[in-house]
Amino acid sequence: MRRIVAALAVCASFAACSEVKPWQRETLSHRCMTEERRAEEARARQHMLGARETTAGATGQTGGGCGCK
Amino acid sequence: MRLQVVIALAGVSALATSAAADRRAASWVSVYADDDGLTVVSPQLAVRADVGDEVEVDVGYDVDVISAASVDVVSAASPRGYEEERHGLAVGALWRPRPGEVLQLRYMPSWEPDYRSHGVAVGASREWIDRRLTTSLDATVAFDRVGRSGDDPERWRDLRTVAGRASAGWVFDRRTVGQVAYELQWLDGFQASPYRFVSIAWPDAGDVVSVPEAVPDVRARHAVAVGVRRALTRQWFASGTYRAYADSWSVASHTGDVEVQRAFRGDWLVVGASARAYWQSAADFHRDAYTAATGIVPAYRVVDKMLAPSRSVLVGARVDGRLGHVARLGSVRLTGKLELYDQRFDEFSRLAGRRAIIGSVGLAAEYP
Repeated sequence: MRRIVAALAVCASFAACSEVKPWQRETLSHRCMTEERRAEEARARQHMLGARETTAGATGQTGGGCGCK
Repeated sequence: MRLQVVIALAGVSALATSAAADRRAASWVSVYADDDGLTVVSPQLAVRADVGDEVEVDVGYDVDVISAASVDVVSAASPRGYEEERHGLAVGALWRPRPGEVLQLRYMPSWEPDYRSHGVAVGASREWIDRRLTTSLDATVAFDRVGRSGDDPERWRDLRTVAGRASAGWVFDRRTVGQVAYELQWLDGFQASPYRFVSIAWPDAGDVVSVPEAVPDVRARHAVAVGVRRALTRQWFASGTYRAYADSWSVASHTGDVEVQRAFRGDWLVVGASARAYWQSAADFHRDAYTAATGIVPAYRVVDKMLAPSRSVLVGARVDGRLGHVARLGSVRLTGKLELYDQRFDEFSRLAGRRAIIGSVGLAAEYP
């Protein structure tokens, strides 16, 4: 019962969000609101951290294998 | 330095001479230097171009030029340290069969004197509910060969990696977007270092033996990340992410990341600051010192600081500016970034921690 209530609450929170029309997306298209144009920067950062920390994943970066230690 | 200049010029030249289409070329160079004797220069180049209305192709190339005399290196096979280069390539294609749908395929080989990797990634994403919801599924398979520099590659050992990732992005309102992602990685094969040897003390015999490092062949890794990005005003933007991680070696970690950006004159100039905090527990077979009964060698034993408890902080500042239109290149942007990294190790007496400075410069050109 708790899980059902929690799921309904999550759905309700999404439904309660403001409707966003296509002509209202100017702010969302600003370069500070997207990571797309920083792909090289994000890849370099994740590569550096991946060679120094043993945990990985869920970052959106797909990279080749590396013997970096 | 010459290598970085050549790569940057090659990228810009490729952009200028390619056929008329939407295209982008970017180069990025990072220099990492820490107080543990490690310096890494990492130039990177990526070129992307549309082919028709539905297909996009991209090629990327990156290099790590490594100069190391760290504690791990000095205590292992190379008392004087070493220098080596790692090369990576990425070739990809993206197809948009219908509006809001994307299919991707990517091949990622990499090679260095003691490591070879071939990876393939596929992905699909789709927009729903009037583009408010974006869902993505990605899968990656990699086949790696691991060995010692100078050894016959036929004697190298295999490592296979299979990973799957699912993510969902949601537009909350005109100024706020969020994302949640889950990734599972399954690694099967050789995951230790062929250069490291572990000392096992036999106190009963008053003896110490040195044996090769050994870890389990299989490792299952789980990661969940949530993030939100919001335009606080027309000029100020903030983002935050949190990632939780756990694996079958009992390593768990928590990562928090925040960034604030200020834009001037639209996006002509963007100034930002970021901070990241990381905490990690140890692998269940990690020991700072191994002790056993005479004649006994633990099945799993490591001298790997990355499997010890650790924590780190990464802070940085970046400046990103539009240089305007240059000849046939369209819009050109220049980015500069400076970061400080501080990592502390617990239960690793060989090295208490390390501090690093990372400087980066990026140049990107887009031509509509």
